Amino acid sequence: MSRVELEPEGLPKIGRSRASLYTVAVCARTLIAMVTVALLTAPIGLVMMDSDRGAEGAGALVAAGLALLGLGLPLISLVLTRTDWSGAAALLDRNAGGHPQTRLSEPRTLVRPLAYTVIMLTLGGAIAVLAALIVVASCVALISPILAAVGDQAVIGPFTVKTVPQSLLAAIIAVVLLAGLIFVSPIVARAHAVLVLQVLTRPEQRLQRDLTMTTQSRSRLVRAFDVERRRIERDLHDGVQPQLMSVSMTLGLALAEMPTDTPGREDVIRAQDQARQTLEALRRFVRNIHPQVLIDHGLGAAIGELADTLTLPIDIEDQLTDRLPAEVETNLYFCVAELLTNVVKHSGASRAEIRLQQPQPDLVQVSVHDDGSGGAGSHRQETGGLDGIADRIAAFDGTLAIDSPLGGPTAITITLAAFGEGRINV
Amino acid sequence: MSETVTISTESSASTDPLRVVIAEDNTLLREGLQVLLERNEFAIAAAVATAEELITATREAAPDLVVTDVRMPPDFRSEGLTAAVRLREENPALPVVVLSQYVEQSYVAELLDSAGGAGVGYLLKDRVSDVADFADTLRRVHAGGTAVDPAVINQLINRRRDPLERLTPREREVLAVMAEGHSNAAIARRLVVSDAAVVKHVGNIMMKLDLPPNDDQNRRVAAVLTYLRGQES
Repeated sequence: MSRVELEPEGLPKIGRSRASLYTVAVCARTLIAMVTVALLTAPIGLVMMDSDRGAEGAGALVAAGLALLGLGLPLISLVLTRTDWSGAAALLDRNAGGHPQTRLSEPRTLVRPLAYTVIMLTLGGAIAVLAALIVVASCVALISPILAAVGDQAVIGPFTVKTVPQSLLAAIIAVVLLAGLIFVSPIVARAHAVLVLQVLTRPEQRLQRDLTMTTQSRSRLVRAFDVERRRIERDLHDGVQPQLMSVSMTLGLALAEMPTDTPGREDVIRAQDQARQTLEALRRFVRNIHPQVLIDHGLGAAIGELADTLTLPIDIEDQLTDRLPAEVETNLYFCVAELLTNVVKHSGASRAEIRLQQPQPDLVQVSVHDDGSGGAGSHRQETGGLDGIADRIAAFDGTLAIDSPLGGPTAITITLAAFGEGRINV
Repeated sequence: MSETVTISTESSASTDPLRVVIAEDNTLLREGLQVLLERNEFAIAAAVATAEELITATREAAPDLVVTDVRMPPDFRSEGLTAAVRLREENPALPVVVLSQYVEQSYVAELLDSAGGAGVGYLLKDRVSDVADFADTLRRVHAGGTAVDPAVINQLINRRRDPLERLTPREREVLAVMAEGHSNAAIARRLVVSDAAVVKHVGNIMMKLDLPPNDDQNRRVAAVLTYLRGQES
């Protein structure tokens, strides 16, 4: 099942050249690892080759070989897993998180790297050696026509190429084989990369990583949403509003030149009224998209202006002394706007109170109290707004506390990290 | 169109038209304002598109009046307002009218706090389309008055109701128009009531707000605004 998770439909396409380079690098590393292991086990090899050594000497050599291997293999596996891990993560274009935590002092953390190294030394080694042999043999085959032309001969494995036609055939086969290698390299490369991530990550690590990625992408979405709102506001402010205003102004100029009894003057007046009403509607619309005062004067001022547009009397206690990061201000502003909408629409409250404070230097808290009928969040129809707030808050890793008994009063408190995503990073 | 402009400027040449510096980054609106002012017997000393240009142009041209947008390049925040406040610090007697797309009390506050709020205006851009009215407002501000958009007053009244609750709806209407800087006679014309009724309403407003009776239309606006703003949290 986890294999399916690791190979979703949308795996990035891997280019042939990139895959070939990757495969060559992996093969090279594997071959180097194999040679190193061979060197480490040389003492054991010596025993096998030279059998008339005394039992004592042989035992010492075997012990030495095993000791070298016991020390060397973990080191080799650490180096191999680190390089292969980075390579695989880069190839799959995936944020795989940091390297798997490995410590020589904690043998448990070495199990996966060692298992991976064993796989690479056996199966991987076989493939690497085979590939290397094909490449070397193909290279010899490619130059065999030249050798045959000058009367020399080329030995390729069990075959000996002597004549020109034979050498040409060999060269063609070599080209086909090399092309085949390049052709399969994306498959091999991807299989290897998936194997690396699969073997080296513990399942809970994978879950953790997925969760981190989801959290990050969610807060990115909310942020992108706010940036987009800001852009729309700017477009309307720079484009539509001045144009409409210009229409209204031109009509005003025309009216100023028209004697009162000019036919059609009434229509011009009506047109001007309509333009003005459209402007007014546009202004309300834009304010709801992203208020300029939030950028210029911060959260307290923006909430104050917002409260002014409502008929409900609202007391604002702003204890914030410094400006907060723009994304935090924006986020809190829209939460408060939504909360106030709820208060006006559903609570039947006669007054409300908003408090902005920083209980700790790194936390910001906004609370909205009203003396309404309570029960916020308990009716299905009413939860739309609160759900939206909960989503916003969750995206910034904050908390939303609702205290709203039936019959009221209601107190809703939002707590966020004052400096953006500080607490999200895992 | 250009003929009209020439005629009107020439006809007013004898009465020394007020020289105005306009700052507005939107070309369409800047040119519209220019035409509007020229037709209403103002002279354009300079028409600029940024806050920085506004400051240099005002220093150089020493105009009778500055009309500026709030939001201008480079950051499209409140550059125009900041520039206006700065110009007022350099020359507290310089009349300034700020045009804004929105009512933002914090902007109004910054402006009214500059040099006691005499000779300042804060209007929504829409008001410009009432050409004659707008021209009048500019003249009132030039004469040292304070002109604040009725929408600002409505918001301020909305903000704190306790003592204002005692005002009748009619008195609130009078208050909003008064804050634009109109004389009693002009208020009477606008609300279609008699001069005597206005005098009575104004007296009641001042009394209910515990403000000394004041017939100087320029000073009383400032007094009322100070009162209203004093009620903020």
